[in-house]
Amino acid sequence: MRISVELFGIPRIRAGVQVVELELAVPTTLGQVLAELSRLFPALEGECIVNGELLPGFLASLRGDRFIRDSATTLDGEASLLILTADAGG
Amino acid sequence: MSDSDHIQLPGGYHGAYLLVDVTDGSCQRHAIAEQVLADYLGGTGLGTWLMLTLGAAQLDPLSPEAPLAVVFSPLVGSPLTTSAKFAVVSRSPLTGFLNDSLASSAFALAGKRTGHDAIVVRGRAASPSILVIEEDEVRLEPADDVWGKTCEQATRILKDRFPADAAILLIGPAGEQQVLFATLSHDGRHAGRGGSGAVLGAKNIKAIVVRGDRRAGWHDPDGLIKQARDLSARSLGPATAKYRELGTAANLVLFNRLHALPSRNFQQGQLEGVEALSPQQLESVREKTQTSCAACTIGCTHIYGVRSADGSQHQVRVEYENLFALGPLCGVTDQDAVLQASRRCDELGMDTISTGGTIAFAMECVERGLLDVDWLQFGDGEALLRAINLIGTSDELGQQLARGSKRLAEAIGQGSIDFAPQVKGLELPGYEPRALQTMALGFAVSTRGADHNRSGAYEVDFSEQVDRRQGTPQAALLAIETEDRATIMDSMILCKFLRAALGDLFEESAEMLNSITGWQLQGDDMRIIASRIATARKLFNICSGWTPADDSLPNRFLTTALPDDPQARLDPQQLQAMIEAYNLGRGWQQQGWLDEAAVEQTGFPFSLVDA
Repeated sequence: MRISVELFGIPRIRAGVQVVELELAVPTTLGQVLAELSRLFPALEGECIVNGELLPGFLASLRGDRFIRDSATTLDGEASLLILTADAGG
Repeated sequence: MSDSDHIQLPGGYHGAYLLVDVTDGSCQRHAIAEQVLADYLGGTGLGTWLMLTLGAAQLDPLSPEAPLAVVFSPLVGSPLTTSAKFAVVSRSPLTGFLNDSLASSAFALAGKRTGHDAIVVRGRAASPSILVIEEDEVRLEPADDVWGKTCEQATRILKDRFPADAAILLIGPAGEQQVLFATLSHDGRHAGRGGSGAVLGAKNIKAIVVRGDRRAGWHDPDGLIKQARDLSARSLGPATAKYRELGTAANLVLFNRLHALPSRNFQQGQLEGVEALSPQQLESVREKTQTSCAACTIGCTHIYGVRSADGSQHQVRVEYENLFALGPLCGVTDQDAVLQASRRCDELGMDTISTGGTIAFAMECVERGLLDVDWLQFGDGEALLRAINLIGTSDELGQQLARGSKRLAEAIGQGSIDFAPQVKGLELPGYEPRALQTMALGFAVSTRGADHNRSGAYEVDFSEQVDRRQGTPQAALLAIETEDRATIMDSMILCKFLRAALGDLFEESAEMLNSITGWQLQGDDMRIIASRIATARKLFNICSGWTPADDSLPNRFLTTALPDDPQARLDPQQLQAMIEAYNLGRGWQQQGWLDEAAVEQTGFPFSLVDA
């Protein structure tokens, strides 16, 4: 399945890209997406992601709707994921 | 010599506040009992206690009798990072309710060195004056040469007049003209919300200058230094990276994506072209520098260059709130326009959120044919600047804008109050309530008005604990938790940008306070303190005339979904259920009133409620 991953905040800075398109097996989990992101953008590992898990202070969002952190979350049919800094202090 | 001089004080405190009457320059030092310090700490907590003690709730905020307090904290002057902060507390001329605003600067350090835990100003000077406090010496000096000057100009002049170790807190022309959202400014930073600048302006005081060398001791200096080193190290880590590397402006693009970016007076949650205002875009085309507040290791202050119409180059501090309020809220995406508008607000001494919110509201009134000012259009950066420059002048529109969106709506009538972007008269910050419904609750119930600082409810929305577009009563307890954390940080005082670097905030706060004061607090004690301060704030507001109808949102948010995100719809009954759950969670009555048991925990008499 093709997943469009949009990066915001620190993940965007570390990866150096705003959007990345991933081609992954169905079903896939959040953890697998995160692991693939770390592989493509090593600067994310240890800063935002560790071993397929989001570090505290970061969130994922399915299509911009609900927020998730659990790496076991299945993304079956999800085409869009956001990875962002959780702290929204303004 | 005062009462406090004979009493063993807890570390971190001087044990007294200074009450100055600027009518004649007289002053009195009043002892503060240790129990009060332990119950209210400092900053916004102690400020609330002062306002209740001085009867401010019943006084016209712009009257000579109304007190304005500058409040320090036990952490000020300590090695703890981000601790150089002070609170400015009064009854707000904009809302009529309790107002407390914070600023980070060396004024906190110099102010506390005068030997007081707070400085309270009352009265009205006979002519524009500068209040000078040098330890026990208080005097008024003429302000003829700085009255009418911008914050920047007046600061330069006064820095030449006073010694280098003096610190200066002042108002701009907006405060002098009693614009209801005027700020207090020190070194380019503002105690921004709620109109404290107007309160000081009504007293004919242009500036408060402080200087001294009295230091409060610490109970366990070695322990405190160890804690400070540890906190500083954490403050430089990943928990604060967003603030250090991008600044709060990083919110803009994310919120736009989530349809949570208030645009065109909250008519929509997204605006095309807003990427132009992102930190990355700003940095790509203009000079950027970075700095930090006094005694801060995080370094979240991002400053960008902007050229004025006359060609002169200036620097503007950029935060999410001034970007949103003067940008998408007014439909403007032009970088220069937004930065110039922000700079102008800083020069005049005006809260950017209320400025942008009031102008955006006026723009919509023009759009709807309710206001006959055809040049004031959404998206027009020049119109935005023109409107800002009118505020506080004798121009009819300027006079109306100076009173904020709620009063403007009341003057216009024709149902415009339904879309005036305010709660209790305070304009909403940059969090769209329909897209962030725990924040909607936070806005509705906050004692200051629509407020993202005293309520951190957006933390709940930005988590996996709730569906941000389906507010439920269960979220109320989570919202209370964020408020209590904010209350502790605002009373100790520490910067909220540290919160992700702290483990258990209540436990760690207790440990820091214990090192300074010698008290033996634990995390649960801090929760009780937070709850007490929240109830005291509510008590003040009830004494000021609050009713349950004040805890709500404008009808726009309760009757209209976001056109760009139809799922972002706030059900009024749902909001009411959340509000009631919040009140009960606080130990108050369901509609928000306080019973005798609740008031008792504040240390104030229940008779205040009936006064």
